[in-house]
Amino acid sequence: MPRPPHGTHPVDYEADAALMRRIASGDKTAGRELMERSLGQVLAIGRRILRDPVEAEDVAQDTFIRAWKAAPDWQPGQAKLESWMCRIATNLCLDRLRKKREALMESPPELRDGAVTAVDALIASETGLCVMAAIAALPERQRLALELCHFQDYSNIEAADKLEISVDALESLLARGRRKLKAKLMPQREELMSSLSEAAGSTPEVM
Amino acid sequence: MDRKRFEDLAEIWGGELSRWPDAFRADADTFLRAEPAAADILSDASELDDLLETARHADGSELLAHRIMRSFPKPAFDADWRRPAMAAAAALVIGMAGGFAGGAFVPAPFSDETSIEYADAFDGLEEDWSALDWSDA
Repeated sequence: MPRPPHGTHPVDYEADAALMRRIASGDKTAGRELMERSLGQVLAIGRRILRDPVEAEDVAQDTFIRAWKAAPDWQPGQAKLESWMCRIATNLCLDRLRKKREALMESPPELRDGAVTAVDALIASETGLCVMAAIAALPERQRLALELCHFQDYSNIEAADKLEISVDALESLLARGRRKLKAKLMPQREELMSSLSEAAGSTPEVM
Repeated sequence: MDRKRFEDLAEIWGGELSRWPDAFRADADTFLRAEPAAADILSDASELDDLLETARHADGSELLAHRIMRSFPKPAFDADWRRPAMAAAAALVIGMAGGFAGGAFVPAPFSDETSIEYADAFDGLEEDWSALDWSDA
């Protein structure tokens, strides 16, 4: 079982189950409700792991299609709905990376020039964009270790298993990744956090 | 646990002990209570955590939301054809009910049983009228 998601409200398993029952019965409003609840997280996972906003959108769509189809089989109390959605998205992203690796027989394609800035600049906060870009600049394995352990709340054993490495190797990847992020982001921390505060006061919700 | 190990773990797992692996948490908590500098180490690590949190969500466009909702599976019984089908079935039921109700106002033909009762109505009556006393007539 995943650990409780970081910084979230208490889990209402019955509400999640009721929502999934409505989706299973073909209630489109319920489908939209699930999308509105978790699209932000699902989309961000795709952007962080794949570093391509277009691919991230494809993964987001695929994630919801799979979740809606699986709604009749939803097991109440097994997981928080958003966490489950994030796991689907993460697995889809990892599958894509694996397929790319197999297809190219080399490391995944580098971040396309301006891929993040061209699309995301229009819709993301400046701070989030800057942090996203710093994460995107990490080597793939460090990025995945950070994704699973920090953003997805995998335990060290689960994450190591997922990445097919030892726990020591995982911790080494995490330490190096966080050290790089710290070196890149901390010098501008004050500016980034104040920019975030200003944005929170003035930027309307896009969704 | 010593300070060096605590710093290493904070660098790996961040500034919230609740997110550290179970195996280290109890020792780390003990160290945190005993060592005044431990809180500062966690606080420093939390600064990066806070920044990372800004990348946890991404805003999706209305276009993407629309595209995703178009993929919502149609129910097995699609309301588009179910509605007229239900209307036709309702009309049929109402028509049949009306037909039966209207039938009550139409004189029904005698059934075989009714005809026999009608024919028997005179059975047992005297046919030899001569025997009757007509004096009072």
